[in-house]
Amino acid sequence: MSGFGRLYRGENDIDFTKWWRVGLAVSSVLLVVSLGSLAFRGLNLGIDFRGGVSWTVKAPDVSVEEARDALRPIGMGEAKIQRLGQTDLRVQGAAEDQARQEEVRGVLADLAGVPKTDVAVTSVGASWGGELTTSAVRALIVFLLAVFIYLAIRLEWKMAAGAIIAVVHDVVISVGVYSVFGFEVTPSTVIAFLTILGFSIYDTVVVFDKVQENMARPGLSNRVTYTELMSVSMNQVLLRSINTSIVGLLPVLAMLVVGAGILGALTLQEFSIALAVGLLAGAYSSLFIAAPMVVLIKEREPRQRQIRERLGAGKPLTSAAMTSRRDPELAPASLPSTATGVPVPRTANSGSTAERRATVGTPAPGAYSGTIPPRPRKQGKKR
Amino acid sequence: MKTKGIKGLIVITALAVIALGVVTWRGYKPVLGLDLQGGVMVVLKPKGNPGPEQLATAILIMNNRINSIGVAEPDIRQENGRIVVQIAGIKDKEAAIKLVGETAELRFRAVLADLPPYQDPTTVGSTPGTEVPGTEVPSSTSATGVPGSVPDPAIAGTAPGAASIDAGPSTTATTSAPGPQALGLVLGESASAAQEAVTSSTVSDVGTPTPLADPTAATIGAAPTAAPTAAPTAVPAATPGSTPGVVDAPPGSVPEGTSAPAPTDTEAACRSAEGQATTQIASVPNKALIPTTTLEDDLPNTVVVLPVYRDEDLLKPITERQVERRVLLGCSRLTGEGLEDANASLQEGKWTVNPRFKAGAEGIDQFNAISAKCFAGTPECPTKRLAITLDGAVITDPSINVASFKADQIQISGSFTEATARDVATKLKFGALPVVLEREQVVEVSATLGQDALYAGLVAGAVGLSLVVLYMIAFYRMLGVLAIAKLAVEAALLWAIIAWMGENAGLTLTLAGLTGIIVSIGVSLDSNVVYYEHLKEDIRNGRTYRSAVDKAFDGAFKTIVKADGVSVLGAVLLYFLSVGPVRGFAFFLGLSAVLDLLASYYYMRPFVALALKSNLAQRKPGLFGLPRPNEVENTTLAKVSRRAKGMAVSAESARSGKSSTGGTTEEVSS
Repeated sequence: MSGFGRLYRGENDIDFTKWWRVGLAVSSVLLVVSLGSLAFRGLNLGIDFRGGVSWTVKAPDVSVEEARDALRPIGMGEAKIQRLGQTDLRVQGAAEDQARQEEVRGVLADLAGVPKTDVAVTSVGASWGGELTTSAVRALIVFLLAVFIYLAIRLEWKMAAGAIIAVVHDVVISVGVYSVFGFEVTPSTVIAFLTILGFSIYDTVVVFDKVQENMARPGLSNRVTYTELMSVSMNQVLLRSINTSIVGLLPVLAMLVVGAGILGALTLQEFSIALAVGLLAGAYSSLFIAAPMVVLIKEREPRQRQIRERLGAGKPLTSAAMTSRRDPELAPASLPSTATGVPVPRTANSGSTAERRATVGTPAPGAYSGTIPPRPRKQGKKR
Repeated sequence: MKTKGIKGLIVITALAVIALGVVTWRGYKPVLGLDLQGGVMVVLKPKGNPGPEQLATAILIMNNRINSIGVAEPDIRQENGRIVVQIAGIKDKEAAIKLVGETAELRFRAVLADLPPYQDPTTVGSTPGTEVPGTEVPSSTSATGVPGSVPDPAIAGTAPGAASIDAGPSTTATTSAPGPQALGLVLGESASAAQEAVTSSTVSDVGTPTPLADPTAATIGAAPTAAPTAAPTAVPAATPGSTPGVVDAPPGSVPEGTSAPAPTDTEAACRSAEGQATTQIASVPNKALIPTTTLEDDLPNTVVVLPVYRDEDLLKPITERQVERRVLLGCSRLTGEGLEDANASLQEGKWTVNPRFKAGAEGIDQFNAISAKCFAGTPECPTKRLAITLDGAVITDPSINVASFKADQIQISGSFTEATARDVATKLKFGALPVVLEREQVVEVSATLGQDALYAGLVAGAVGLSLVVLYMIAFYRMLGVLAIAKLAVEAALLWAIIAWMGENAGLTLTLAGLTGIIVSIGVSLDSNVVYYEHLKEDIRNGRTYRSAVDKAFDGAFKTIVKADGVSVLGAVLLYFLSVGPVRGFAFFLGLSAVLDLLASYYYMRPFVALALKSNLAQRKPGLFGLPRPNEVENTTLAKVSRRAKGMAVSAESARSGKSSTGGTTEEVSS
């Protein structure tokens, strides 16, 4: 049975606890690289952040070198000249006054053989960038706070904390990608990042929602550790997460490849790179960062401790995920074989029937009662 | 079995169809932002911390300026402490950018003569011969020659002058009631006779002397009128090159450029230019042909012709105002910087405006210097009136009735109503503390680049959409088709809203907005994915299609609400914390999320329910990408539950010493 087939049929049983360890390790590396690159390389800030002037003209036949040669006589030889997409040429530099702007504009228009008015000019005051950064950071902080409160009300604060940690992780890594690859940061990029935060949280919410739903099944939540509950829930929403990410990514990739790559629309490019990076980071972090963070916090609860003790997994919760490989008993989900190994075939059947009932009959207290005496009776009554 | 929400399904489908129909029938289309159709966007940040009144005046002035260059409806908004001006599809971008960011200056100028409103010679129907020679060469001249070198009047205190001419007569009468303290400046209203062409003089009834009950207060009776804005009719060409001092306008011609003697002595130049202009004007037979000075040429050290609007038009939008008369004005003698404050008050049952000048040489002294001349009616101020101008138009031009004033005891009275008095006071206040705007960002987009961007956005959207459609159908089969149908309903509603708001609420669709919409495709389909996966899971866990449809929706919708809630929350925050194009993006993203919530509840739910309760779904679940009930027992949850039980049992048995098989047996038997 292929992995995809299992996934499609909802039979996937991946031990996420194992992957969390990998995920945390990968994320740590990524975070270090991102922060290091930010500290030493910094960001390639667009003129909106530095102040300056940008001229854009449609000039499919003019090379960057030709443009530079043409601009040199008027002292703009050092300007930053780029080709955007297939047709557009962009020059960025400083221009003190409007006359100077017009001069460059004239040169570019001549070069491209178009009227002057076909050269687009954007000029940005130096203070604009500072304002922009301030407002972006302010938006970010307010957003995180608002989302934390919202999730704390709709779910619970521990989950909200996990979601926020994941989002911060996404932001740092996304910004890191920009730093490492030297992509230009523009206002559009900032908008895209802010959007991504929403996406990342969206994904996380779906996972957590499932956890809460499962928590409401005492037959399950009383019998497994929170860690495993999380892992199960993630298995349940995995296909959804994948599909969501694909459905979200497809239009973004279309923007990147078709819009920006082939047609050369700059804004599309700025948006789509950031969106693509953020979407991937968001999908990853909701499964590998948000979840383990919540597990770490939740396993400290007395109730969870009790469950662990009852299950014989007395070690501190925090290490449960980490030690799963060494001690299968702590994280039973890691051993799919136990599923077949432990119960007798008949038991397996009854288990699933019971579970079916659990879903059907709503609260279904203690669908199967091997452990707690009163429950079998209740079950019997129902039957 | 009755399906819940059929009404909703019908209503929302009908709504989408009707909305789309109405919008199409009315011919509404989304209004493209300037990044998609070309144009100019300027983001201006006021320096300091101007009050709302101040900003509103600045915006009004800006609006009028842009109108003056022939753009009917500039999009000027106040966003987050900034002023964002967007002018789509404009040709003369440079002029617009220049006009928009300049600070309007309040100036005090002596009224040299009155002129009738401008008449375009070509439309007057007069024979060419009757035309005043020189009309077609209207010009203003700056005394200093090179415009750039015009000395800053604010520094000079008195307006140093250059002269340029274009003139218009006006009238005014004054009356005064000098206060006992001898400070009264009473400007009675201008009652002076309108000269020849002067169409209307508000003056008439204004001439009443204003007796002052308050002995301390000086009254400036005023000819109320005014409104900022340049009357764009004529375009006097400045002749910067003209030699100072030489006022050699062709005889009979409209005052042509004149300039002052020596650049160093701008004041003398001004005086001479003023004199020239006055003489010349007097000799022009048809003063209506003398063009009005354009806003561009309305420089402090020039002689200018500015319009005075009808009183009753004062509060109307600029385009609906009528020029009542025009005045020939001398060089600026004092700017708004000399003012401290101004307010409107009711005195003796009449509305008056009370400007308060700064003390000493920066304010009142300068004002008194010129008012003394006006009071005396010297050649520098033959009409005895002093005009206050703002941005190419006369706010008011009261007669001066007292020789000397005290800084805080000046009263301008006239036929003000409460509204007009307040309006004048607001403008004076603005002049006292003009909002200095800093251009933070100027974006010019050429029409071709805009079209390319639109094209790229549409193509990218179409490609992305097709990919997503293919994926959804491949994965969810018929359910995927339903998801696309839902997307179509959302798209129809979105289009209708954008088109309607574009037409009626000034909403523009920018590239950022388009991106937001493309991104929201994913958000919207995600709701379907959540629901479908829920559905599949429930069916696997043993529900029939019928029961799963409603049950799964309840669970999925909770998730959808939370997730869309986050999107809306983010969009709202982004909208209020940002400026310009970011807002467009946030708006469309938020709008899409709200539409998605509606469509999920009222459209997806009943539609999917109907589909799954159909015979087709029962017979061929594969067509819907669904498992058969009971087909699969080995779901994740089932596995884990089993495992959990096993674990629990073994743990329990380990502790209690019971055998694990005992536990199982018990359960099986139960």
